Amino acid sequence: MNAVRAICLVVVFGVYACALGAGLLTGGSYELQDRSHAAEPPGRVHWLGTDDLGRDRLVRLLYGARTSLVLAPAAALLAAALATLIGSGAALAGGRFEQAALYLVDVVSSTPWFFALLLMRAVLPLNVGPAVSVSITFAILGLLGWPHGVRPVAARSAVVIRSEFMRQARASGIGGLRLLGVHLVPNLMPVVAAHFWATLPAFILAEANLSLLGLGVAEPLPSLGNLMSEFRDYRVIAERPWLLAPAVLLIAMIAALQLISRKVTASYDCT
Amino acid sequence: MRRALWVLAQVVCHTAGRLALRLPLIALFACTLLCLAPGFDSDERSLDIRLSAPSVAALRHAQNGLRNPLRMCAAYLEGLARGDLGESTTFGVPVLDLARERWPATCRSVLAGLGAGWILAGGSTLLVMLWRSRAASGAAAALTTALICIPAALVGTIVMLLDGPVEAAMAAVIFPRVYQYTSRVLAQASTEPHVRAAEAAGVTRWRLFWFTCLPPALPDLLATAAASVSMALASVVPLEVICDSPGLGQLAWKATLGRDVPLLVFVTLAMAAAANLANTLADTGVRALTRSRS
Repeated sequence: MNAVRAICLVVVFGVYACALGAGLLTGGSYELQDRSHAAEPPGRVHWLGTDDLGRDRLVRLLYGARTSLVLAPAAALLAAALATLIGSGAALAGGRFEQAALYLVDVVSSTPWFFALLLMRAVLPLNVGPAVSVSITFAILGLLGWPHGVRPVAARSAVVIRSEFMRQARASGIGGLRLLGVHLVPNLMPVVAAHFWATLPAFILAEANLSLLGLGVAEPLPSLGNLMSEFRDYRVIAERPWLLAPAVLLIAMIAALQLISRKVTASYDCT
Repeated sequence: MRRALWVLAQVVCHTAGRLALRLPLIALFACTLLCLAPGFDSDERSLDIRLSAPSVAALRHAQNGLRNPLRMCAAYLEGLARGDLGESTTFGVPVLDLARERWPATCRSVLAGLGAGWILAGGSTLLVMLWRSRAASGAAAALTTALICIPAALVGTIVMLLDGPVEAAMAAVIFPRVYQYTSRVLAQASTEPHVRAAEAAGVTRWRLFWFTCLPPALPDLLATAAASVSMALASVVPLEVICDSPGLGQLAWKATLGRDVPLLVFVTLAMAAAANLANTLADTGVRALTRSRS
């Protein structure tokens, strides 16, 4: 199992290195067009071929991986931060406030989140650039991904709050934000990390689903999802199998992330 | 017979009460999301170059007037109580008519997909547990992990390439997730001391599974069943769009593309109601199982 995890780590670091160094590796921009070689199959110049606008598919794949793999962790971090804030805040307040907060969290988490995602996506501004659009897409993912983390965080917070050192801290006059930030939150890190690792692949997949349906990251900015939007006409896959490259990269990345995080998320299931 | 009817009436009342309490809160959540969205005040008509600046400002002002989640939710619920869900801005017909037209397709794909997914997952779990081969469990784990890593929309594409129906795509989305839950729950149940004792006493694997492992795992399996309904509903949109199935998921996609808020709010509420119904029924089942045991 350790060998498998080591391979997964190599895959993740390799993909991240290539994605972050896309500019250096390819020396071109994802928008650069080679109009004389539009819609070409893989060759010596364009290793993965070109799209209908003559843009190099490999360059776009590396930049697309950067978009998905950098912004998804940011969204997962935002979701984990919100879950921590709400869960620990509810546990600190205790009593009926905690019960009411957790009931509301149950109500929110019982709403199929893809539909909540569509609701916010439907009323996005009409005239924004691709960079703003991609930021908003991932921000929405982060803003809607917190409910499932609140209960484990609140349960863990309740245990920590009842512990000796917390009582001592309270008896010493420490309260409010200091109690939360210095004494409570650092002790919630295993649960928060598990939530982060559980939501990270889910966010990458959600972006892929949204973009594949034309609702995610807008052109010309590439992402792993919108590079697969050509699959909406599924017949192209049989004709041009090299179009599957983003899907292969996405699946490899998610599998690697899941295998790496299995231990952490197992502890999350137990809480 | 009278007792069974009494229990059924209790379940119906409990479910209806819980839904009546939760649906307004979900509607409020949906309205809050809409009002908080950064582009809520933008209207497609404001991009019309024929409109003057004061007209655009008036449109913005009118849209901003709706930016109160409580007022918006109250208006929606009032309409819902009267049976008026508004008119779709994309299709120009009442939302209720569209829903009536589309819900059978979604119902069919979700129920058939869930059924097939559960049969596949249950069968695989049973095989792995009875066979007890490391290779078999490893292969099943590898297959399900790989399937989980594929976005639902891509699963739909692959199924379409193989000329399969949307139900098969739904089953392919449900199967790996359910398998991972059920195998974990049953594997945990099989390590309990009473199971070990029964095994040592020479009880066959088949009887061990049905009479010793399965009964204590039933509450967890019921919870998994409820969770699988939510999973199926979440994948309805990508699968129906890719497989071109005329259901509520495809309707939600078209509503999103057309900024059709009344239609989208209705579909979200309908899906949330279905997920909550499944959760409530599972909760009732778990409670009944626990009570019958104690």
